[in-house]
Amino acid sequence: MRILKYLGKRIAVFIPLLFAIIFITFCLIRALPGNPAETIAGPNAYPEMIASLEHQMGLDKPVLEQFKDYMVGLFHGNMGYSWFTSNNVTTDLAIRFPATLELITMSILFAVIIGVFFAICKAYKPTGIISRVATVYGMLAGAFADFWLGLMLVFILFVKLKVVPSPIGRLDLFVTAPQHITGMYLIDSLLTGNMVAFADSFKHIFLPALTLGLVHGAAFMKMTSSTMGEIIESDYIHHARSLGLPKKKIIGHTFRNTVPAVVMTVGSTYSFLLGGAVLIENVFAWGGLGQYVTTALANKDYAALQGFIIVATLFSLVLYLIIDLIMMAVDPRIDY
Amino acid sequence: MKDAIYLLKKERSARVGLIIITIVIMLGLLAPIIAPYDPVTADGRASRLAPCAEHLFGTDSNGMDIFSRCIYAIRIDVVIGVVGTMLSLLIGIPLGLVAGYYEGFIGELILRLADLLQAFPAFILAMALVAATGQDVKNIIYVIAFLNSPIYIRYVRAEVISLKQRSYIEACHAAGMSDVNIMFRQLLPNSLRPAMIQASINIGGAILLTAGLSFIGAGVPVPTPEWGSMISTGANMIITGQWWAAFFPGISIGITVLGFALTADFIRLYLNPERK
Amino acid sequence: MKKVLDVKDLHVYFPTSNGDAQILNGVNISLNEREMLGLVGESGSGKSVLASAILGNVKKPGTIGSGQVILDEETDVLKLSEGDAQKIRGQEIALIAANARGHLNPLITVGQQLSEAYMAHHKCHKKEAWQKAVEMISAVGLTDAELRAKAYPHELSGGQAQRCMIGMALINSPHILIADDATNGLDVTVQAQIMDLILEMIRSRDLASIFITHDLGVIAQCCQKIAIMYCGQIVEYASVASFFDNVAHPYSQILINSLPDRRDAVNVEDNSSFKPDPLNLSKGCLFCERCKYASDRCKTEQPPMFKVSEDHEVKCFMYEDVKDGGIE
Repeated sequence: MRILKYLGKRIAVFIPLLFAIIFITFCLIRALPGNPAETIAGPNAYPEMIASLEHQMGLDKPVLEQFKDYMVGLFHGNMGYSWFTSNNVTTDLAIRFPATLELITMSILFAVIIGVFFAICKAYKPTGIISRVATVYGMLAGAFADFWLGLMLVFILFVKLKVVPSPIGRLDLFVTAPQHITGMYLIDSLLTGNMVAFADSFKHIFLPALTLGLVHGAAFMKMTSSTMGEIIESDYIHHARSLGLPKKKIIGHTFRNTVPAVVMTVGSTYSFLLGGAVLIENVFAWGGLGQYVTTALANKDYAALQGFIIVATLFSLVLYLIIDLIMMAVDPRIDY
Repeated sequence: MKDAIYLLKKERSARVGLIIITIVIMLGLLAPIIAPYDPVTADGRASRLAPCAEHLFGTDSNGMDIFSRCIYAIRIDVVIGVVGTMLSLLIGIPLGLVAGYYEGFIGELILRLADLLQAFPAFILAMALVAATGQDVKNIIYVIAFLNSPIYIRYVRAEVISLKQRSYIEACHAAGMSDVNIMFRQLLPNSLRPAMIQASINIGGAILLTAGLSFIGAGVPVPTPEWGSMISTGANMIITGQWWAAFFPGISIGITVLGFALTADFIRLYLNPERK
Repeated sequence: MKKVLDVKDLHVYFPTSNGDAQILNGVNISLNEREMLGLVGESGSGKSVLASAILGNVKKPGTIGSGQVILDEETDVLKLSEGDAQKIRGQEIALIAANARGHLNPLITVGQQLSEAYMAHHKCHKKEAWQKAVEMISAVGLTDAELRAKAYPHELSGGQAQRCMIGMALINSPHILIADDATNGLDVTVQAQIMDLILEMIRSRDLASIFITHDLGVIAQCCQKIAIMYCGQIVEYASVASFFDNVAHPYSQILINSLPDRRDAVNVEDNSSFKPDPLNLSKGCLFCERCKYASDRCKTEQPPMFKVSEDHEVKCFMYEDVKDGGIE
């Protein structure tokens, strides 16, 4: 009941916020220098051609009227047409958003595994070799550019060792994408039992996700390590031992109490990576949102940009909501 | 000063940090003397050479010497990073002071605007702003300053809010000190601490952002030597096993950012009253 | 009379970058069946460390230097393997600490924590353990036990949390209880209630117990023996009657004088700004600097325990040649 009320409150705030963001973006995008009609018409176009294009694109109407048209279209589920890809923006996003989401999720999975592994080693064997490696890793991980690391890994694992496929996109040229259910190849291929597609998409997602995982794993390691340290030193863990609880139980408690901190870090990393995965998407030709936006910016593709902003905002808001709900479930002290 | 030297002797990471950034800055300043080649002159015959005696870091596909370009790039990347961050301090700190001191409408407004700015995916917003203002070093500095200011607004605001309550501030009020005076003479020095530490880390972040933007062509325009765009040029050579054009600029970024991060640790320890 | 607990010459230190900080410097106390020992000392005297050490569970980086903790005249707790020691903790000896909410896991319900305490020493189903937990919650005086069991520590008041801690200590029916400053931080009225609860539990279950407290009044009322602790050592050890009849050690005299309604005839000056440095303990009497009666000998030689009477020992050279005979 308390959860339903909370959800209600959140959604009520969410809608006007979304509206405000769409409006602001709408205006800001039109403030970008450059005329999209000119860009599309090309350098040799006559002024009449540009004017006619502008009319076609609706750019000659006053801004507010353009906004009204856009909102009306939005209510019908129409996000407009991309001037660059000539597709419905909705169609474009339906492919690109899951691509990015899948990549980000795998990356976070790797980051959590790497980070938590190192943190556990640091907490329980602070003088061991792995701990020292972990400390060095923590220092270096934030200093190197993710796109550079991706390139170096491509060089080592693809060019030299040939253990991963060519870093171009999500699948080999000769493998067909699985049936579109969520748009995320790994999930869709599992759902449809398409093991060839599964294996291939996994091979392709491995390297970019590993790159991002290595870069962001350090944050997980530091957060988990310091939280675990506090817990291990805490009075209640000490007391649990004086009650005679077996070691396994105590380790279990320690892990259980670290979960809230890890969840928070997952949330903030997801939020960062939505825009932060752009460069890796570029290196690996991933076909995700990042590249979409980069191209849209270069081509002044208004509808595409707006579509992206809407999706990104919706995603952030839903993400924060989910994280808050998980936090409420996992940490009883929290009460929104 | 004595404390600083003591700390340097004790903490190896602090030493390493300061050494690194000193070397980097020196190299940048002395670039024309140290760099053997002109950074923007392309020698078609010398393209794609592996590291050797004439070209320490090899050459790229255009025939430009990578070592020279890496050194000259310091003048771009590090300057953007440092100046951009300093500027964001200049914007963020006063705004933070105001937001913290006048907690009412003004304070809330500033805070919400900061929230809004931080809610956008940073990299995408940076791309858009640089596209809007034009791709040159000056604009990138402004964009970085603008995008990073919310961080300092928050830090300073938080410190001010907690310090405001202390009795010495009440004493100042009672003595008739003006608000501006209180803000700048009393609250400012104490609020600076977390901001300074964060600033050093952010310089590294600004360098990474610049490199990232330039990598996809949305940052510093091409022939200017910049680590990110160098990596982009070098990326095409990776497939043919020619690793050096992308490798060295990347290492330069890593070492420099690491240097600033370690220096941040040093500042943190130096300013921390509870250090051992 | 069986000695349920015998602590012999216990030394605990913790290593620091500047050397070893000596926390317990040769503690000797013992407990008989159904006996209540009151342990008094100021903060920093090592009382809580002693309590943990008796369970063999000193908080890191604390390390047990030497000594024995003999349980029931047969087992030395300190020599047990971790596995065996774990069986003793909570089962034979149990500990109640102050600041209950800090000692309870904030993310787990109190009922579950009680169940886990029970299951640590009894092989049974979760359901059975939960039943026992609820019973215990009721037994410590909380109403609506079923509901209360599902509460989280932060949802309880200080007094309620402390009752749960008492429950956790007693759920496995230990025969020795150590209460370490169990009423610290609670409201005065609640303090009295908790005290009553603890005393009632001790009486109804025939427990031997150690009461660590600042409060001499409580000890006078309920305990049979009293030990005064200073700087990691027991400086006076006596039956309660004998102690209050003749407060012997200079430090004990200071403590007595601090009670508002119990002035002793002896007037002792208190240079209490001085605190011995655990990294650098003197070879002489540790109380020397604060002692009005200090002689030169006190500065270089540490006094052993001298018997003042049959059931009264003092660690002070002033009592060296007392009628009931010399060195213990």
